[in-house]
Amino acid sequence: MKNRPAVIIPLDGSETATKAFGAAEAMTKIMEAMLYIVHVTEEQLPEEELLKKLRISQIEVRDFAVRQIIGKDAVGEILRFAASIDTQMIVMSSHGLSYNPKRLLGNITMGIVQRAINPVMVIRPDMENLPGPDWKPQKMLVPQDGTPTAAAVMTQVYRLAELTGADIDVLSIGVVGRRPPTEAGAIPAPRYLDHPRYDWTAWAGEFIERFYAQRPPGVELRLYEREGELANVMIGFATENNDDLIALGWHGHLESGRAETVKKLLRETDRPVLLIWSRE
Amino acid sequence: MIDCLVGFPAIRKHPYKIIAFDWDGTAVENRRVDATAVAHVLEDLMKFGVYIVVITGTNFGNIDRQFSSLITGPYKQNLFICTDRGSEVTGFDKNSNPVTLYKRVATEKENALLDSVAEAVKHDIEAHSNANIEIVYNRLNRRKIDLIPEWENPPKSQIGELLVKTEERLNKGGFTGGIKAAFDLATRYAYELGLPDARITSDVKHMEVGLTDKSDSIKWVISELSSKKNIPFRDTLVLGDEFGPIAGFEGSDFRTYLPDAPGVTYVSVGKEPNGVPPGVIHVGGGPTCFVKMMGEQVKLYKKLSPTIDPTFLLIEEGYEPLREREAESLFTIGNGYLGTRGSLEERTPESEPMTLLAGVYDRPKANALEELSIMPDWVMARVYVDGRVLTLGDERSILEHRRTLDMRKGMLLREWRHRSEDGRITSIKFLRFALLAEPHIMAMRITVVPENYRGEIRVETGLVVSRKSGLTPELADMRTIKDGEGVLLSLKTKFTRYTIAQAQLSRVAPGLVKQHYRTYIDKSGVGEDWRWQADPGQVIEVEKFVSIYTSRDLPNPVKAASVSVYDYAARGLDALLLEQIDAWEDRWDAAAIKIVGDPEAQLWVNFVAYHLITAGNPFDERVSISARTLTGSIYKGHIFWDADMFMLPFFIYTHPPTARAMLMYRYHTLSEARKEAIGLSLRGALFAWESATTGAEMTPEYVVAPTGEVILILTGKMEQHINTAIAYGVWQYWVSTNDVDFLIQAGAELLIETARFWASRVEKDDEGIYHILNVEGPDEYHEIVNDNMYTNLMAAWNIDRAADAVRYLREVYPEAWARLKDKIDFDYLELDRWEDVSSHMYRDMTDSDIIEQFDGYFGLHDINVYDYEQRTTSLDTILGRDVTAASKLVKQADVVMLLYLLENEFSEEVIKENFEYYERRTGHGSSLSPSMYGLVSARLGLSALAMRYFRQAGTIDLSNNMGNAAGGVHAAALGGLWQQIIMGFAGVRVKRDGLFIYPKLPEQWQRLTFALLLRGNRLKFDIESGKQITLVVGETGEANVGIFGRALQTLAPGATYRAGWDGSTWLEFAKIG
Repeated sequence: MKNRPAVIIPLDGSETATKAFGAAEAMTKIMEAMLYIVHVTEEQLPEEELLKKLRISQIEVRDFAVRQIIGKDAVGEILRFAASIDTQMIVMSSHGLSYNPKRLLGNITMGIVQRAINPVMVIRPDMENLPGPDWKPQKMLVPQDGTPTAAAVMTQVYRLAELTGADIDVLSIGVVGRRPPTEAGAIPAPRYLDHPRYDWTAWAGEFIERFYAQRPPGVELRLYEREGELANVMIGFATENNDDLIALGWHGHLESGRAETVKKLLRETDRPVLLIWSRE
Repeated sequence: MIDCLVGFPAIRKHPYKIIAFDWDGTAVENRRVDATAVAHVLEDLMKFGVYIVVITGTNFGNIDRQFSSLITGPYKQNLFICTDRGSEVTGFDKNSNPVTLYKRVATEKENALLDSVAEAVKHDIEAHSNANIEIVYNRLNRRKIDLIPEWENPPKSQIGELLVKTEERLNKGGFTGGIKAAFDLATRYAYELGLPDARITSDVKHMEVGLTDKSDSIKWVISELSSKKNIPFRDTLVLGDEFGPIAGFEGSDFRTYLPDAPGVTYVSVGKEPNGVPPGVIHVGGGPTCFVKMMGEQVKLYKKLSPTIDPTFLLIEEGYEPLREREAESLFTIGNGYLGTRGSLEERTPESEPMTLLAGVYDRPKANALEELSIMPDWVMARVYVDGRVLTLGDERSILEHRRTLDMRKGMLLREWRHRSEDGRITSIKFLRFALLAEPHIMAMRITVVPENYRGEIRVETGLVVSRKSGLTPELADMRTIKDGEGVLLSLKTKFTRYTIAQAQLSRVAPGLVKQHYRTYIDKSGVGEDWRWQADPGQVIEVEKFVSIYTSRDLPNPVKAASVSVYDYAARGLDALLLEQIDAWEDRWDAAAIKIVGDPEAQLWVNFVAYHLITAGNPFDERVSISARTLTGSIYKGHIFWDADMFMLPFFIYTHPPTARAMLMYRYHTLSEARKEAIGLSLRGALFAWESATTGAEMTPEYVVAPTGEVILILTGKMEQHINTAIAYGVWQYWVSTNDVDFLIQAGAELLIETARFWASRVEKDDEGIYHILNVEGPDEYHEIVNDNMYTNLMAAWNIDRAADAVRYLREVYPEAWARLKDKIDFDYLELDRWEDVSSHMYRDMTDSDIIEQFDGYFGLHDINVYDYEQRTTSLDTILGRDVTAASKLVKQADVVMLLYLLENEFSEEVIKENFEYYERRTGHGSSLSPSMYGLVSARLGLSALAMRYFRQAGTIDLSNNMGNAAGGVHAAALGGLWQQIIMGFAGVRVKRDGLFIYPKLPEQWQRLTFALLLRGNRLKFDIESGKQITLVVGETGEANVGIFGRALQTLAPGATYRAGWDGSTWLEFAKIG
C-alpha cells in the first residue's frame, strides 16, 4: 500500500466538505494516484449508508477506496492514516459541518493544515469556480521571498507542474514594514541597485537559478516582481495572470501573530491554495 | 657570533614533516640538564602535525624523565621515542600515556650469546694485559664492555681526553692494539660465536655488542611513518652530533644515515672533528643550534599555517548550495591581474567557477559592447575512490566541510571529510592562491588521505573550457606541454583577438606510494590524472602549478606559459606560498587598520582591504578596477566612477603604484574621451561612464525589460560628473604623493582636458551666470536635470585645479610645461575663460542654507524615508519609477558628497543642515551611498548615525543584503567604507600643503590605528578615543601634519608626536620621542 501514491479527501458528511471533492478527484487523476475518501466516526456505518452520509453520488476516478476510521480524534486519525500510505496530497474544504464563514477554517481543516507534513490543498466552499474532476491547473503562482524555506516548495510544485504541464509564475514581493529575511541563504530582492540594468538582471538570474537546478525540462518558469501588501498582491496577481492555484511554503503555525499572509489568502482568495509545510 | 644556520638555509624554507634526532649531545648537552626549552619548541612542532622522533641509545625512562614527561596533549601522539639503540619504540596515546609500539625481545639464546661475546672480549683483553674490564649486562639487547671504568659518565666535550686515557690505559696494561683491537676482537667473537649480525659500536669508553643499533630506529621511522603516512623522504630531517668518525670509529649517529632513503636531510650540530660523511650538512653549534633550528621550523610552520586572528578569516562551515555563488564571490582570490572565484574544485551544479583577467575584454558579437571574457577554470579537481567521484551532493556524506579565506595571507583553504555509503572516510584538503607579487602564477595543493580503508584514489585536475554560460574565448589549441607531461590551453578572444595561454603542471612528491600519471585531453578541456593504491592514513599531496599569459602581456604567451610553469614547479609550492605570504604581509603593513573594541568592524575593514588589494593591479596601467572587481562578471568588467572616486583613495594612501596605474588607465583612454567631447561639439574630453579597453562608452543605450518595455539608459550620456571624479582622483594622488613625473606625463593633461570640457559645456545666461543643463548627478532617480549642484560645483573645482596645475608647471617645470602646452595646444586665454566660468558658475542662490540638489528639486513631492524604514526591497522599486522621479527621494549621496569633497566651501552649520535635510530624503538605493552618509555624519560627530551607516555599508557583501553578491563584491562600497574610517571617523583631510586630522571615534571603538603614505613618508597614527593621538613620522622626511582647525605643524622624520584631548578639542602635536 505504501508504494501506491495516494490522495486523501477527508469528509465529515457536510455539504461544504464535498466542495473539495472535484479537486481531489482532479489531483488523483493527475497523479495517477489512489483516492482515499476518509471519514472518521465513532460509529461504524454500512458502506452504502456511509456514501450516502458523505453525500457522494458519483466518483469519477478509477481507483478509490472509502475508509471509515473509528475514533474521536478526527485530525489525529486522518494524519495517522496519511502517514500509513504514500500520501501525495490531502485535499479538503476549508470548512465542514461546523461551517462558519467568519472563521478562517473549520476545526478539522485547521488541525490538518497545522499538523500535516504532506501538502494540503484547501478549497473554499464558496469559490465561484470550484475545481471539477477534470480540473488541470495550467498556471500556478508561487510567491517567493527569497528564503530557502519558500524555495523548498518548488520540489512539490515542479512535480505537479510536470504532471499537469502547468507553467509557474514565481512572484517576488517588495514590502514596506518588514525587514528583509535573514534566513541563511536567503536572496531577497535587492535593496541597492547601483545600476539596475545589471543588478536586476543578475538578481533575477540568481533568483531563478535557485529554482532552475531542480526544474524538470519543459516546465516554464517566469519571475515577477511586485510591491505591496503580500496577500493582496498575491490575490491580485493571480487574478490578473489567470493563475489556477497558489502554492505557498509555510511552517504550519496559524496561531495569533503568525502566518498572517496565509490566513488572509485563505480567507480572501478564490483559488485553491496549496500549503506545503517545511521545517522551521 | 656566527649564525649556525648559515649553512642550512632550508631550515627556514622547507617544512619538515618528520624530525628525528639523537638526544644526548644533539638536543641537550647531557641527560641531566633541564630540557624544558627543547620540549616547548618540539611541542609547538607537534601541534603543527610534525612527527618528532628521538633516537637514542639510552632507555625510555631516562628520556621520559628528562623530556617526554614535560609534554601533555593530544599532539603528543606525534612523539616517538626510539630507545636502546634501536631495540624499542615508545609512542603515546591520546591521553599522553606511553605505549610501546615496537620492542625487539632477545631470545634466551641471543642473550646468552651476547654475554658470551662480551665475556670473551673481556677475557681476551684481560688475558693479554692487566687492564681491568667491566661488562654492563643490564642493557636491552646489548652488552657494554667498559674499557675505562674509572671514568664515570664522561661528557662528550671530553671525548678527546677520554680517547687518550682509554688508549693509554689499554696500552699501559699491555693490550697494545688499543680500542681498535678491542673492536676487532668483538667483531670476530660475535661472528664466531653465532651472532653474525651483531651491531658493534664504540663511544670510546665502551665497546658495545648488541642485536640492534640506531639504523633500526631510522628504519622504523621509514617503515612506520614515512611509508604508512607516505611522507616523502625530502620531508624528513635527521639530526645528530656524531655522524663523522671519532677515534677511528664511526660516530654514534652514523647508523642513522640511510643511503637507500634518498632525499632525507642529515644535519650535524656536533663538533665533528674529523668531518662529516658526504650527504651530511655540518652546522655545529650543539644543542643551542638544535633549539634554534627547531624554533625556525616553528616560525616556518606558523607562517605557512592559516592566520589565527579570526578577523582575517572568512569561514564557511558546512555547505549551503543556496549560498554557493555568493560564497564564490566573497572567497575570490586574486592579484589584480586575475581573479578566481572561490568555487568548489569538483564543480557543482550550483557553482559558477570563473577566472577573469583584468583588461581581457571581448564582445559577444560584432559591434556589441565589450565585457570581460571568462577564462578556463583552472581550479577544477576531482577525487575518485575506486572509480566513484566524491561530491557534496548527499549531505549525509559530509562529515566536515569548511572553506576558509585567509585574507592576511591571500590563500583559500578547503577542508572536507567525506564518508561514502559503505563507510569509507576520505579526508581532502585544497589550498589555492594566486601570487600577488608575480601575477601570472596560480598554485593549488590537493591533499588526500583515505582514513579507514585501502583503495584506489584518483585525482583528476585540469583546465576546463566548458561552462554553462558567459562569454568565453575560442579554443585554439589543447595539448601536453612536453614528453607527455603537463597540459596547455591556448585560446583567442573572438573580436578583440587576444591570445590567452594557460599551462598546468602538477607534481606529487616522491614518497613510497607509487602513482600512475597521465594527461588527458577531451571536450571539457585538458588535465592531469594521478592514481594510486593507498593504505589507510597514507597522505598524497598533488601540487598543481598554473601559469597564465596573454598577448596583452607579451608577444608569445603560449611559450611564456609553457616555460614558466616549469620554473614555478621547480620552485615548489611551499616556496611560492612563502613568497605569497611575504607579499601580503608587506601590503598589510601598509594597509592594515586596527580597531579595538569592535571585532565585527575589524572583520569588515579587513575584508575591504583584502578585496581592494586583490583588485588593484600596479603592473598594468591599461586597466583599472571594475565595479565588481574580478570577483564576478555582472558588471561586465566595466569601469565606472566607482574606481576613481571610491576605490582610488585606498591605493593613494596605501599603495601609490596601484593608484598611479589606475589613473594612467584614464590617461590612456583620453583619446576616446576627446572623441566623445568632439562628438558633442565640445572641447576637451568627456570620459565614458562605463569604460573598458579603449575608453569608448560602454553603457548600453537601452535595455529591454522582461515585460518587453524598452528602457532608455541615460547614465552614459548624462552622468558627465565622471570627469570630475577622475580630476578629483588626479588631484588627490598628486597632493598626496607629489609624483611630479605623473603630473607632467599625465595628470596635468587629464585636469586640463576635463576642465576644457566643462568650460565648453556650460551655458551662460543673461546675467553672466554659467549653468550646466541636461545632466544627471549621482542621484540617478532624477535623470535629466539642470544645474545639478554636485556637477556644477565639482566642475568649477575641476577647472580651478586645472588652472593650479598649469600655473604650477609653468612656474616650476617650465620646459615640461612648454612641451605639454604645445602638445595640447594650450592658449593662456583659456585661463581667463576658466576663471570666468568657475567664479560665475551657478551655485544655488536661494535664500536658504539648504542647497537645492538641482533646479526644481524643492518643488518636488516631499518624502521622508523613515516612513518606509523597514522594507524588503529598494524604495524606488516600491514607489515605482514615475512616483520616485516626481518626489524628493534621492538615490544616493549627491549634495552630501559635496559636503565631503568640497568641505572647505561650506560652514559646519551649512554642512549639518544640508546633511540632515538630505539624510531624511535619501533611500540609499545604491551601495555607494551609506558609506558617504556615514563619513559626513562621522565628521559631524553624529556617532550613532555614523555607526549605523558604517554597519549598513559593512554588511553589503557580508550579509548578502544586496541580493546580488553572487555577481561579485561591491568594490565602491568597500572603498567607501575605507574612506568612512579614515576620512570620517579619523577625520583625515589631505591638502596641498599637508595632512589634517580630527578623530571622532564611535563610542565602542576604544582605539583606531592605521598608517598612511604621504609623499613617500609613512605616517602611523594611533588614536585612543577621548585621550590622545600618537603619530610616528616615517624616516623619509619631514611631514606637515596638523589638527584640523589648527595650523599645520612641521614634524621631524623618525620622531613620535602626541596630541592630547582636553575634553572638548584636540590639542596640537607635541614631540615625545
